[in-house]
Amino acid sequence: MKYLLAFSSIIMLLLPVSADSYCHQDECFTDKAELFVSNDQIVHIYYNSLFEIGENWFIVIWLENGTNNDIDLQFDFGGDISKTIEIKNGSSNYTDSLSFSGSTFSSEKFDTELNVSFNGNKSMILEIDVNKKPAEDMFYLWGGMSVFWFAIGTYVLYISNKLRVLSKRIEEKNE
Amino acid sequence: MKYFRELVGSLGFLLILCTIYFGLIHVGPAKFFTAPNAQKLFYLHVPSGLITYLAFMMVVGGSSFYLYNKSNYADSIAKCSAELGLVFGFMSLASGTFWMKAEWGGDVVSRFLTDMRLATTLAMWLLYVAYVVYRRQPETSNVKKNAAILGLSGMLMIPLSYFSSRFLRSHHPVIVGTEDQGSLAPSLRLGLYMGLLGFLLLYYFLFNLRFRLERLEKNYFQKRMENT
Repeated sequence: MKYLLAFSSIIMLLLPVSADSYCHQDECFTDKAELFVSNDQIVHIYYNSLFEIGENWFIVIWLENGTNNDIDLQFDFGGDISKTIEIKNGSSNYTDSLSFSGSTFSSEKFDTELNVSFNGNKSMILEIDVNKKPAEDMFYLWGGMSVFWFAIGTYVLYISNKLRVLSKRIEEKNE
Repeated sequence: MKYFRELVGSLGFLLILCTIYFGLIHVGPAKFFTAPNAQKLFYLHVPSGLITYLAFMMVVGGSSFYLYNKSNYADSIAKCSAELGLVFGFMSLASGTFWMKAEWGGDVVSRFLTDMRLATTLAMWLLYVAYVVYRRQPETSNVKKNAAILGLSGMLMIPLSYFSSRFLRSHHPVIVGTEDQGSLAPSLRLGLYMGLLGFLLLYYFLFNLRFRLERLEKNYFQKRMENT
């Protein structure tokens, strides 16, 4: 029973990294590009056009037909930020993925270029937007900050209203 | 000086704006906090809390003087200061609630029921809500006397609230009067003292305004009584 449990746990841990589990359906990503490696060999590249800082950013590739050569696909943001997927000779209907960590970028940047190279030759450029989500506690900060102005403003209004009523009464009395 | 009160008020307002600029822009997000941005409420939350204690202590002082020598002047001080205590207390409680929600998380109601600092501060604030509501009726000497007795109960509530985080069960940090005060980062200390001075001047301005209005009201009603 103990061994069965350990074995099942290992299988469960391995399942998510199995190559077949990579989603290469259109609904899993917002964008798709096709790279023609040769006449009948197409590498489909699935990616999201928005890179959220703090969240891992994935690329999934799918080689539609088999290949008789080794293929190196390099994804390069420039400045030594690059990753490579190697497709071995003889692979067919091959799926793979890579990810860039959420800390790859630290500030917002639009139209960031991702150079895709095939066996060392620059083949295509994918443009993505790097976005920085507002911090979750900003809502609480602005909520808390508004409280001060709300309180001071309301009290000043209360005093001025009281003063206006009193002045009116004094005026009426004098008349 | 003719415009002294207005000058003090403007200076206080300016200092608060400087504190906000300092806290929000000059100093970056705080380290070692779960909610580093919400931590910036510190620069106004702590000063508003301290001014709340000051305002309620003025109520206690005014009430004691009234009970001692029936001074209407002292009674007016207590009445005006109680209102301001509610205003600053609201600021402190509400901003603290926002900060608490971001930093500690969890249910706000159960926090107020189980954390003694929050519970006693809310109780103190509600006590003075009762005081202000009670004072909304015609001011007979009996009403003033009862209000003064109610106001005096702050003698118990103020220290209870202030020391609750030191001696009772509470997550609320204790800074003022402890070793932590000395070890505060210079930037934190500067922001804190600037905010404190800003709120102190604002309190003086609002108190002065409210006190003048109170005297005007009293004179008006006194003259009307004399005429009838």
